[in-house]
Amino acid sequence: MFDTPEIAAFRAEVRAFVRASLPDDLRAAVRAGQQASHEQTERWNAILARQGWLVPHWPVEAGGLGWDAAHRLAFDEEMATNHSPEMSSITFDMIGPVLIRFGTPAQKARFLPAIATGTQHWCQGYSEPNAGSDLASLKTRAVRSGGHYVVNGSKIWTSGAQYSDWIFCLTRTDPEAKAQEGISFLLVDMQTPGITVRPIRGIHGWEVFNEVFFDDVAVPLDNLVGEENRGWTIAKSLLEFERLKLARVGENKRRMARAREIGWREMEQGEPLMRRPWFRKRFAGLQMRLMALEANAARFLERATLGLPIGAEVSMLKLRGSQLIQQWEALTVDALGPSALPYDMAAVLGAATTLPLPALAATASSRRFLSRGYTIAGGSSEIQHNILAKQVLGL
Amino acid sequence: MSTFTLSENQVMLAESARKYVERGYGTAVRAASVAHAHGCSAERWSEFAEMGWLALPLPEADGGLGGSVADICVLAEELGRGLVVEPWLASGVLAATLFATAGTPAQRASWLPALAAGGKRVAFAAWEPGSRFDATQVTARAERVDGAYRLNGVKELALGAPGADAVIVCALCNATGGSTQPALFLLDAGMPGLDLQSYAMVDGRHAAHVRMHNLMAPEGARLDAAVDVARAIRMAIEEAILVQCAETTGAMARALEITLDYLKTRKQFGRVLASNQVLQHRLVDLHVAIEETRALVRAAAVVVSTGNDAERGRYVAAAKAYASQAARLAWEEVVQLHGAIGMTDEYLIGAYVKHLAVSHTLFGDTEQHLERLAEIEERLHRTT
Repeated sequence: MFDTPEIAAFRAEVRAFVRASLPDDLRAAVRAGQQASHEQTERWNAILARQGWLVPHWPVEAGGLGWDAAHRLAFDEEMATNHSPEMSSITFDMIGPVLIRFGTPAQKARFLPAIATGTQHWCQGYSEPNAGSDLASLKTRAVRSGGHYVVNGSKIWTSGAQYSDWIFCLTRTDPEAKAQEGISFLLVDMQTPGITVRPIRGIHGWEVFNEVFFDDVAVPLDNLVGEENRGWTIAKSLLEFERLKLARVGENKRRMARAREIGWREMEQGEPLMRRPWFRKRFAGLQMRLMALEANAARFLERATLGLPIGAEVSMLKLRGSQLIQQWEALTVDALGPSALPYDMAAVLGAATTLPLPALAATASSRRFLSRGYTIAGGSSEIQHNILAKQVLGL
Repeated sequence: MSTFTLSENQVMLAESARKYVERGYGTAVRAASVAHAHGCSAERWSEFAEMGWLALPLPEADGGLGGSVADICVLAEELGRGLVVEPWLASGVLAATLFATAGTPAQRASWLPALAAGGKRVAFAAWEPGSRFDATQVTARAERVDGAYRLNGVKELALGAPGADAVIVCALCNATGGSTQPALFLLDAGMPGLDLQSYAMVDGRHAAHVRMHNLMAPEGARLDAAVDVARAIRMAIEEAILVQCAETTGAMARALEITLDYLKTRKQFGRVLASNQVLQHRLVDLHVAIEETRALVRAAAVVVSTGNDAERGRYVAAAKAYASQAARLAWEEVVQLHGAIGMTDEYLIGAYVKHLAVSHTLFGDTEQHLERLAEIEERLHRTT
């Protein structure tokens, strides 16, 4: 309803493409609530790259199409509601744009083509065992020695490290400086000797996270992005569209569609849940909150489109969008009730379930557990509250 | 065209309204309106007319300014900040726009210029006891008797009816084949058989209980018989709901400002209250609720002007459900955040607390509007 005619037509084009081009096995996996496998993701990335839609929000000179935020957000929403898996924002929205803005010509030439064609995967080395929301207290050291930085330390909660070719890291290059200074932004080849990856199995059953250990890892000086000791600014430089995207409107709609499917299918006392007072009210309540989120996100997008700053206030989109995803997942589990309890590890990891369960049931609890991460990662809800309190309410 | 960014005209409208409210509608002025027998001071009402606020919702063809729902909402938010007691929403928006839609050309010609100029004021007695803010539930009867109508029935919580020159009511009228159809009547305040029991609501806004006992209304009192009455009422109520949501947004925003000012100055345990993270996060949640209300209401205002009936119903229900929920959160939180002083009638915040508590319920609360959302979900499911 917030679309211009141009965006509405564009949405229809994206929808038709995704419906025609998304591989059936991947669509089935996503519909069943499974995580896409690495192989499936690579296949889908290649299809998108052929269409030119893997990094369409990058500038044309960097290999993108120069889409504005409105096109990019509409694209993401259509992808989500038509069963595309969530794309790697670490690779396409973070390191790509960072290199475009802060990389040397040599770094751009070396990395951007591989990222834009989907053949190179990246992970993000920010958090450490003792530096989570308080990221600036990170301790991984990078010391100049000969023609290299020698990196020692460890990173944790690193998504996709086991499949990544490269990692971008925040490392401490000046231990005497104040917390946010003395940090440098390094690009590290995952094949370098001294790197060990330990996958961490989550409460949901998936190995989403890893711990990455650095033991005298030699990194060429050319792999420094920006100036030494100035890495913090680079890490904080999220794209405008990335901040708007954190409302996760499409990801919420994807979950609403699942809850709706279950609500009309599952029966209680002889009628569909959608007619049972408890479910009916909770579904309507979340629908209401999603409409509010969507309107608020559209308000910020309109501001950005008019060239006005979106400011720190945009934090409220991340805060609300992540909370709402959790509410949908909780409703889904509650709606499935007893069917959500049997644990079928094979089905969670991609096989068809062998248990006598209705659709979506085998993965519902895992998805719900996974969703708790949305309010922790990328600036926890508490951090978002702090930002809004300080920068918007002046507290 | 922008959905959320105010147009130049809207910015001017908001600025002039804020200036009026801040300079001309202080605590003493407001207290006088609350104490007024009808909750509507004649001076204030004519000032509203001079500001163009009574003409804004009326069509240009009828001497109005033809404001969009979004325009009217912009003004409502400012009047909400000032907790305006006068029945601008009830008479100036709801009753006047219903009359403009459903009146005959002759009725419109004789009334609307006076409504826009503030010389006359009407009210719409929308609800009956037991209908719980559902204006489509009508049991009042109108029987044809010798070229006139005999009306019997009861209406509750008729907003703005005290002191109004006429009251609009809906009654079921005999139609051909023994069926009935809803019809609207404009009843002069002094008509025999029309009994108004006036009172102030909890927050100082005024309303009346309306009884019609064998009231004989002349033919000319009936509004245009060719108009789809049920639809006209639904549209007018839906638009009034959004205007009320905007008013609530303004009241919440001002209540948060007052609370922030208080917490930034009040010291406990040797430091200002606002430095406590536990309070900061609650203030943030309130701020976010207000911003989401504003965005959703603004979106809904555009939908009612452009969307189809299902979209319209969905957005109005969601906006009111959300605004009611936010209003309750706001008034309960601002009392707690103030502490005991938030419980006093003389301190400023108390008036906001009561206004928001009334706004939560008025025109239907969160539960009722969520149920409407669920009904629409069901209707859409059946058709797909």
